[in-house]
Amino acid sequence: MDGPEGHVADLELIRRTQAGENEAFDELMKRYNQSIYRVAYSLTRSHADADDISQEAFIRAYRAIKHFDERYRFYTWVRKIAVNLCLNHLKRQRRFRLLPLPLADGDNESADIADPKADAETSSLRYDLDRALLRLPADQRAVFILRVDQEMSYNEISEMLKIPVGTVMSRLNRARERLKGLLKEYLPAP
Amino acid sequence: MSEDCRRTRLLLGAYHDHELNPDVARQVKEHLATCAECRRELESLEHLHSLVRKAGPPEMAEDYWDWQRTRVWRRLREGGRERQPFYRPSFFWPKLATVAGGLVVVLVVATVGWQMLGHGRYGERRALPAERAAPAPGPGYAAKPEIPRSKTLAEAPEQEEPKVEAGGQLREAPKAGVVAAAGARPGARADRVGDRAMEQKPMPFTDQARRGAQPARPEAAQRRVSIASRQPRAAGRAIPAAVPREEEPELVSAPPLPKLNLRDSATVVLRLTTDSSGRVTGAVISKSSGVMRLDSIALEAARRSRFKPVRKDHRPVASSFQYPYRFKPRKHAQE
Repeated sequence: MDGPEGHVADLELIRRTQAGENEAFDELMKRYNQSIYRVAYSLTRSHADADDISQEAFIRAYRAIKHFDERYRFYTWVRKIAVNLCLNHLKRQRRFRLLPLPLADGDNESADIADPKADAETSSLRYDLDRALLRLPADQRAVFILRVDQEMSYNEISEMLKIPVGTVMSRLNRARERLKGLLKEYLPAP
Repeated sequence: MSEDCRRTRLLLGAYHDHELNPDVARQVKEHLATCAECRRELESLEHLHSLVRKAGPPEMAEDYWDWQRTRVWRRLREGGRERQPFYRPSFFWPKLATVAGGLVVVLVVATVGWQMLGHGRYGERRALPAERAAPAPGPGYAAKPEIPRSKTLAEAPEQEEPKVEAGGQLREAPKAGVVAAAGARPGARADRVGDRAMEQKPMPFTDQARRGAQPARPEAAQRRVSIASRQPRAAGRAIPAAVPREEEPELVSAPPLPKLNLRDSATVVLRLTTDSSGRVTGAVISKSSGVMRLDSIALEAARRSRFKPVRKDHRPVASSFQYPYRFKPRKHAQE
């Protein structure tokens, strides 16, 4: 829920939650669960991980709601929690070498879940985009998603990931170059 | 690709994202107006972003919200320890096991190595086989009695005999002292011995004993006894003491030994280890007497004995050495 009205409404719900009214937090979850899920999925490219991360993000938010700084938006706050959870998860994947290998045709999680009525072209694009993003290193993927999908500024990304703005730029450039190579069939020929 | 193109390519992403400062953005814009290749690059960038947007949000089940809120509230109600959100096959465990195994091996090797250097009981036992494997006293072993020391000791075999049980390893000086004292005061010796069949050789050194020993003791007696110097004493019944490899400390005190009725003499050779304070930290049988009872007595006595620590570079250090216990029958002592 964007805009000043949404922020005020969020603050009211937050205060009621702080006062012990769980229904208020339930309403907050209902407002933002899809957005948080989308962030988690964009970074992990896995529905199972996105489920776990979005739940964990709301649980942590609920437990820390008394320390919420009202200068920030609730969504921004929970999104930061979710992104940190995602990054930790991606680091763990890298440590365990569980980063998915190139998927065989038809062996794609999102393809399994995709609505059969969905446009075939979009499904194919989503599938290939998943594969391409999974081949990116986690740090480049995170920067790319936060910029392109979440439309965060370089400064916001820098602050969230605790890296210099120059590093944000260089990671973005590398991610774009790599993706252009992986998705060249969808891009106009040079 | 010109230098301008190369520089523009580096800035193209930030230009597309409107993250460049106005001056730099204007320069990039001016270059794009003149370079078709860089314009195509920018278009490809825009196309890439549009692809991501076109893919849209992830597909979600219709009942996702109900399912999620149920799980969230259930976990919040359960409280307690936060559950790990991810469960993955633990590829970490084999690595951990490898590292732990490596650490154990390093620890064992380090411990054994440390003790092999004579710092602990285990090291003594490890050293024992090597000691046994050491060359046995050769023919020259018993052939050395000509040296002055042996002569001195050989002069008083009778006095020595009564005090049958010998701590053969005694330093030369104490031995000579005891021998001399026994010779000078046989009555006193007999009183002390009483009916005991056996008597502990390593006795406290009295001043009198020391004085009595002085004439027969060369100055070198203050130094560590060599096997050759000890050998004469074994003349006729060789003491199977191996050549000590380490410096042998001086006996300071030893416990009394039990009364025994022996028919034959016997010798037990122990390998003792002392710490820097002279306390016996390890005693193992280097050569058995063949009688378990005598071996046990010798071991027990050795473990309760106290030695003057060996000094190395003016500092007391741990030591490991051979130490024989000789047992003689009482009748032999009366001869």
